[in-house]
Amino acid sequence: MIVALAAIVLGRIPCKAQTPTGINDLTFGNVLPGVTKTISKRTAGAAAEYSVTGNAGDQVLIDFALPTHLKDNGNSLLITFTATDCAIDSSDPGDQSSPAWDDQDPRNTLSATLGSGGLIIWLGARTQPSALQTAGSYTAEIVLTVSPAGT
Amino acid sequence: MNIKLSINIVCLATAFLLLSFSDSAAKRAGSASASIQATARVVPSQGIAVSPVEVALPDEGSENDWWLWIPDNEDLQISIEADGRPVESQLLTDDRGLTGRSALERHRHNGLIPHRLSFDSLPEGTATCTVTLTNPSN
Repeated sequence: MIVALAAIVLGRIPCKAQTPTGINDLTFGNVLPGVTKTISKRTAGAAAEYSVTGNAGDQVLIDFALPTHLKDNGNSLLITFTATDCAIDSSDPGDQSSPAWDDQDPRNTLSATLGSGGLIIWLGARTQPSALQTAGSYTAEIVLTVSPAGT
Repeated sequence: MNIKLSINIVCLATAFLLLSFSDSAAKRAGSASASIQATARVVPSQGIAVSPVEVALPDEGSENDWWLWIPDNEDLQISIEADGRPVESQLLTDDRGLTGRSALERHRHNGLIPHRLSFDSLPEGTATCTVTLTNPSN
């Protein structure tokens, strides 16, 4: 009976976990007071980039925890995301210029299917410093959470 | 009989607890997170603000060299007028005549990159230039 119970319990624990990893920070570089600056999801090295490893064919749900402001010593810098700021690709290596899932809305839960190389996820954004924006180095965290679809 | 019943009850209770545990463990094991940083460095305009603004161009030692430091921002379009006339500007930045990206990289400072203004289109002495910066994304 104990063996049967163990089989039941173990059978309910998913063994195909996906592992996301942050690859590249979302880097605006220098911005000027009063001047909006946009980072495209296509811009390698500047766009945020994550990888997800796991078993090919697994479908996953993708959620972002997006900041509304970057911070520096109590000062805030507005950051916004739009409905087309995310792209996802499952090819190996990922194709940033022509991803399988393009123009995705990072504000919503997204879904994708892992390829042989897992997934690569890119994220762009724009920052809108005010005309009186205080100089400084502003940062914020962008958290990506991946879950197996159907759980 | 009673002993068997007790054992079965204990087993069922254990199974219930294990299944409850496995459900919460499954949720923890089934989702995972990773984070990156969004970073931006707000640089002071150092006398050059969003358009239009007048700046005096200092002579950098050679009468042919007029230098203007322009914010490094790919989103900006830059036009320059001296005394109301358009002035050509180039991203030619190296004292030894080097041009291109390597020269630009060496001269980047505080988020500004230098433009060299064409001598032919500038009046002698100190000119007052109007620098117009426009942001197409606005």
